[in-house]
Amino acid sequence: MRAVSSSPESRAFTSAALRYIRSGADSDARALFRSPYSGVPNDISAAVLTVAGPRQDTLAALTSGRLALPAAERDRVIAFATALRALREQGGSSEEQQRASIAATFGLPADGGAPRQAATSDAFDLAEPPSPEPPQPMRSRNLHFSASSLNTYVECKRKWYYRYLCASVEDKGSSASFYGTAFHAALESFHEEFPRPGEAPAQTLRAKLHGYLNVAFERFASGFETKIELELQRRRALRTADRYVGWLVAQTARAPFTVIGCELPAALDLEGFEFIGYIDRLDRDDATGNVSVIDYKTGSIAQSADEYREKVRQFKEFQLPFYYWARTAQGDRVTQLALIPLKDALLEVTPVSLEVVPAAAQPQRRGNGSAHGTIPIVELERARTRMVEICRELTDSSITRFEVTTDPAACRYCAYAAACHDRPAPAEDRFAR
Amino acid sequence: MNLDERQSAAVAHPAHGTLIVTGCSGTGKSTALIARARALLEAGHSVFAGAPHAAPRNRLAAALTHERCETGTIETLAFSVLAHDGAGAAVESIDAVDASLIFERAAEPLFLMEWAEFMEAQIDPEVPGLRAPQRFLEAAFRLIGKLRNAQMTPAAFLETALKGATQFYARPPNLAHPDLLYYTKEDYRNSLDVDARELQRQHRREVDLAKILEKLYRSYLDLLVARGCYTGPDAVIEAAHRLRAAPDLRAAFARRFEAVLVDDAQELSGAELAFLQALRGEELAGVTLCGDRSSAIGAFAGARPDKVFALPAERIELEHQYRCPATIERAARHLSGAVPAATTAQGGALTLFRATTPRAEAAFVAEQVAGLINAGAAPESIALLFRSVANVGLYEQELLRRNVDVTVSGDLNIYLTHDVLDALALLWNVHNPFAHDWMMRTLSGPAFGLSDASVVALCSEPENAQPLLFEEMDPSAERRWDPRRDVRLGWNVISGDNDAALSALALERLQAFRALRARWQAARTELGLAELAATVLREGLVRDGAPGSARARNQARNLARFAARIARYADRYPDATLGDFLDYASGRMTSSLEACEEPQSGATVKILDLTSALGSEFDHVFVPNVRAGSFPRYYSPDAFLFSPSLGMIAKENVGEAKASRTAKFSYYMFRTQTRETYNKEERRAFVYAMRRARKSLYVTASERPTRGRTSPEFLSELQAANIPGSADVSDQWRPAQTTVA
Repeated sequence: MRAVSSSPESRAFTSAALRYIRSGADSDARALFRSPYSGVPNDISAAVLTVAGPRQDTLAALTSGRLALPAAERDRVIAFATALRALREQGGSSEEQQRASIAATFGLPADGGAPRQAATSDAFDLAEPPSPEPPQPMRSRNLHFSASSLNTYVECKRKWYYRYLCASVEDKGSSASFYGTAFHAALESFHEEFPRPGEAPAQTLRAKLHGYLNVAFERFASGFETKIELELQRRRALRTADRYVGWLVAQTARAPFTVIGCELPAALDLEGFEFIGYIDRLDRDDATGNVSVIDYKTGSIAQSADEYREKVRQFKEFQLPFYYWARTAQGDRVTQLALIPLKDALLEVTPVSLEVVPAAAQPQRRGNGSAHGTIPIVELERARTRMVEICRELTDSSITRFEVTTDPAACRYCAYAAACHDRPAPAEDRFAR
Repeated sequence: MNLDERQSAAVAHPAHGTLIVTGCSGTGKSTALIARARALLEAGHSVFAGAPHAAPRNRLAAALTHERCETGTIETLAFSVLAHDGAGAAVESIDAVDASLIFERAAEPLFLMEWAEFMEAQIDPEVPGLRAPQRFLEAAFRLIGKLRNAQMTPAAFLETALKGATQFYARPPNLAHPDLLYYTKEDYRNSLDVDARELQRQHRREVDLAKILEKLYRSYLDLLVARGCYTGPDAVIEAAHRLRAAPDLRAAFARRFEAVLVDDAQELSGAELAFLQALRGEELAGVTLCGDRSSAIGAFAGARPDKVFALPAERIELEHQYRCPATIERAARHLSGAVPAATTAQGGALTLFRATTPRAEAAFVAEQVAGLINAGAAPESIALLFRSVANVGLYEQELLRRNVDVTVSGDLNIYLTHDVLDALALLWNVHNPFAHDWMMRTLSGPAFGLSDASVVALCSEPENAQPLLFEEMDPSAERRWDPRRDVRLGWNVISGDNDAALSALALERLQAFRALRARWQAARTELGLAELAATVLREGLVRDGAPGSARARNQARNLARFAARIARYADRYPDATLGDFLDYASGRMTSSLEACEEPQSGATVKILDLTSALGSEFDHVFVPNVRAGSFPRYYSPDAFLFSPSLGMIAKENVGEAKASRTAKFSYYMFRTQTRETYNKEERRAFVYAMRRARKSLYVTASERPTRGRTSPEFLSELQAANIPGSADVSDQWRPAQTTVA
């Protein structure tokens, strides 16, 4: 006789087990493992699968032993794995036999009628909230900083808190961010092979960069959410690469240069605060010996030199100022900071560049929309001073709470949105379709 | 019920005749419809009275309580037909969000590039929009919804698309025509600079897009059939099909409803009209349609007032304005460009206000509402009408701050409200303590109130580490992330490994949380899903605001709405577990189709989107956020459109393109003047909102207006018109803090 189990959990368990016998689908194995009837405590099964990640085979995860569980709990996990394997061997029996076997193996309750109904009503008469725990001071224990961490801090202090202090939720990135990762990796390999790109024919450069991009996209394939995104982003990268090579060839013809470093570690001690980072590329002008700091941008960037400089002036952007000071400390004569856009395959590559000029030089008239502009050293110094101030703020034990931004745009792709109790209401969608 | 001559004529019209009653908002069409329904019932007829949308239907249901009268939407009537049809399998009703989740399933093989057409290189996947799969899905789902409404099958769609493509690309129009060049924005003018080769390339991309969409459409329908579920529009189409195929079924419904009365008929879709014709014959015998073509606000969503009001029928036009006072009616007519109407209503207040910031505008609105209530207005006689209520938190909060009880209904995603996010967090905590984002929300939220420092301590490695350790790291993993972080917080919370780092108060609260969690864990095998969830929410959440305050009532209402959703889900899937529901909720959280019904809320101020306000009227109406980009929103077409004559019109140019847009899209926008048509509908919608007011109307906005070139600025138009009886208080208002007792 068919055993009818009493709660949704037990019915769901039986259904998943029957499906698993038939198909061996991993999603059913996961559902079984997460059930209260798996014999493994809920929190242990949750931990095992969290560590395994969404892509690892469940049986492999159960036996991998990546978590050092207490012996009793490990035995339960192993027992479940054994039972799961045994399930797959029941394919030849009738469904009635399978049900009986599932119930016996996993100790499912016999028919007990409907689950107990708790008293329900529509009313939610909730308890009084307790007063919040008195705030206590915190300080960053990690005395290493980076320009991007300070950028995060000025964008949203609460985001900085989640990312760098709590560090409990991984920002897994998106297809767009993996497009950038792959492009950066490809350009690193490419310029290591071609430090003087002017010396190779354009056709060779194109073919080589295509090759490196194909390798890089393969390497980071798992970061893309779907295969189709991987394929279409790869094609976008190849077309953008052609634009990039076109610009590279024209640039080297105009002013030959040598790539002197890619993904170069940059370290700097600013008044006792240690900064680390990686410079995408460093170029040396063959004629003058001047050094340019190059940053590849695969997402949206400032449209003009003025716009970028304004971000530096308003302390919203510390990356290139940091690189400038890091390389200057190394003895380089850095005269240019440049962003190279690698997002849009339809557009020519036109770097947004700032020429570093002495403090006395007049800044350019603002708002002319040009891709080329200047930045006085004094503004880079102000940025450096502000970096130190922020580091002091983060390490002097005076902060008791990290406030959330008021700008909802900062929350749009924030990995910590669900955690953030006080985040601003989302920005209004101003477009109808 | 006092009726004028024309209304009386509508009531007296023969039961079996076809009647169309027209007239602008407030002329008493619904009154005439209700009176006619009552007269028919008194004469012994059986009646169905309904509307395309739920809001007017609810009003009809309240007014028409009779054993021979049924009320509903056209969709519910279609479901009745399907349920009645014994030949059909059991029918499950699903909403648009569920349908879109099924559509996502249908698209999985496409996104995994598992289609044979890709492997055999018959179709190139590089088509407009597909690089951003989520947006592509939304656009494709919208398009397929429209195709369903137009009763176009996948095969017919592909045939039309291919034919349209051939016609366009075989003989392209003059893309260098000065009018076309002038109309096209400078940024996109290069899309018209194309040679034959580029057009051929765009043609190929378009054909592949049509093939992909056709296959997706077919896969989706197959999945719907396999699951035996229908959305409302699906039910309408299927019911029409069955009625045409089964004369007995049609006869049964002709007996069941001798008369069918439809209010707000301007919102009927093509499929709904076809369904009514399948039910009552092409001439719509015994059908009364009440509506106003100039009030149609859903044409872009599929309404076909052009077809409805072109039907051969006896027509009665109502002209006398009963609802809106003179000032408001004058303003409405000014905006719609109509001649002034006769009205019995006198006076009426029209207040115009532009604030410098959105917050100041919301404060103004809340002050006025609180003032009206304190002066004796019933809260339920006041409504704030928005084009969309997806982001009206600012207005809601300003009202709650003044202790004004308020309910929001319409295109609000309840899963994204503060109260429901707190509830979801607790449910996640029960299911998986390693969902750290939800765990942090609970710990630092109002129920447990841990300080930032305590949360950081819980996220940290204990000093005397006897914790969960990793025996082996994955050497192939290319991650900067330390995987121990994936479990550290959850493990500290459940095991107490780092309790020593907590203050006494934090420890006390954490222990209380652990005790609750242990009880909830045990209840998983004892309680059904809905009961388990309700128990967790009641025991784990705390009240927002003072006891009995508007804020507390608002929170309770939101939680009740959420609990009702869980209960519906549990009814539908009796074997579903908490984990299943949380996965399902994650899908609904990100859906732009999520909507929130109007609760039985009683005496509260209403915040409604315009669809939810259809057929409603209020003494005092506020139309806030009236600025370009909000009301009306800017028109931004999807990545692709479809036209029966031109086929697919792809917006984005993909592949080896030189311009970001296709030539066909630029041409189509010029030829159909789509943006202008859209803005006209928005103008009608705004006027419709104004005419919901019986006594006073407030039109407000914030920040400087645009020049109104891309989208009209209605408030600026009203300010400039200087309507007699209106008052512009933009420079006079000073903030106060009026509170409702």
